[in-house]
Amino acid sequence: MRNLILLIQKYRNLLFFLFLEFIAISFLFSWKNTYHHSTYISSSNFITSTVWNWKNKIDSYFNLSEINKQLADENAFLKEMLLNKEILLGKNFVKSGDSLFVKAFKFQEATIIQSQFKFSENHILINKGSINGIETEMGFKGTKGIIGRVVNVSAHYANVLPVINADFKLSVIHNASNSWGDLSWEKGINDYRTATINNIPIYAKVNLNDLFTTTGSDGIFPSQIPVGKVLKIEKDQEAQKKVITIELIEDFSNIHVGFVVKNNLRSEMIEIQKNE
Amino acid sequence: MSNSFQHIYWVIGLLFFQLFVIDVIDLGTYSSFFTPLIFSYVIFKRKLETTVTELLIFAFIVGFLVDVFRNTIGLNISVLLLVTFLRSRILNLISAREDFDDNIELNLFNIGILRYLFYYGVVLFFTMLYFT
Repeated sequence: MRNLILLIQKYRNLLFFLFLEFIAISFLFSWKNTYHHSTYISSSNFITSTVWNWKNKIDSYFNLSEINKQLADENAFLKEMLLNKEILLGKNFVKSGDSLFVKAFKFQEATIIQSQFKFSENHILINKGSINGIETEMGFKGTKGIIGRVVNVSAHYANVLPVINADFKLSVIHNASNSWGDLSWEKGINDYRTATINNIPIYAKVNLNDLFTTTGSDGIFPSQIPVGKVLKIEKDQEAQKKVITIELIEDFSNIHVGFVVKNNLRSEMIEIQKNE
Repeated sequence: MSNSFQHIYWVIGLLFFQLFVIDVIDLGTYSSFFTPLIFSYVIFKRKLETTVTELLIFAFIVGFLVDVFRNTIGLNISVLLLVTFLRSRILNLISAREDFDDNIELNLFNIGILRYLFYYGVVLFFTMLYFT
């Protein structure tokens, strides 16, 4: 017993180091594996989000012209969509205000109070939380294209997992050929301007600058939201697939406002997918 | 007591500098791969007489604060603990222990520019290695 105590005393620093390291690593894995464990020890908690909010208030003064430009662009885009819709609908079709027409997606404006773009584990913090009806697994789109999905919500803030995080996955569609692919962001290969699309069949005709959009199959985003443009095409002859690098539509180093996307029919969609 | 307050000021100051200045600098394509982690300075400047246990607790707290702000819970804690544990070995690389007084802070002026750059360079190298 005495020897054991002496041994512990001799290696107490090493043992203490290993003990703390064990706590740190268990934090790391519990954070990776569950969203709920991270509610209090992430940037959506009260203290950290308040600090980011202060910083955002200062920053926003310097970015007002940029934010105005983004909103003006968004307005122009929405107007264009609205006007085109009026032409398309005509009197023989159901009007959007009709009770027969189900509005699946709702958009809620949110300000980005903190965004990371240069790490391998990037995150975004927005100023809307559970009291605004925000829930996890909702989409978040910017003024030009998709940004990410909500992974963590506190009362007044929410954490968004952006496209530029290795944990983010989404199915996308190549507009010209209608081929489906899997969007991911690969650590060490992609930076904040690019992402990778796998599993595009080798026979699909893909050209540089072609647009990839969302498929809507996961129920997080509506279909046809721009994701990125083709930057580089590589062929994997063995797998008979193409690996495509895209330039993301959203500039993650310069995003200030966005819209949380709520799909009212998502639970129904998941339910039916479960039954398949 | 004033010493403890000094440490707290240093932690808050460096944390804010790391998060609001260093982390915001955009190095283009290299941004994803290289971001200096300067907050470890607050641990490495501590006097030689500081016990390893005290340093490890300090490293845990600083790492935790950075992790909470960066949403990387556990990552910065574990790297800081590792470099803190190796501090005395890194110091042995640059000089014999007798070269420094136990009660001086290990900063640029007390141990010399070259030695300090090497000392802190090794610490940053270990940190970056761990992250990659």
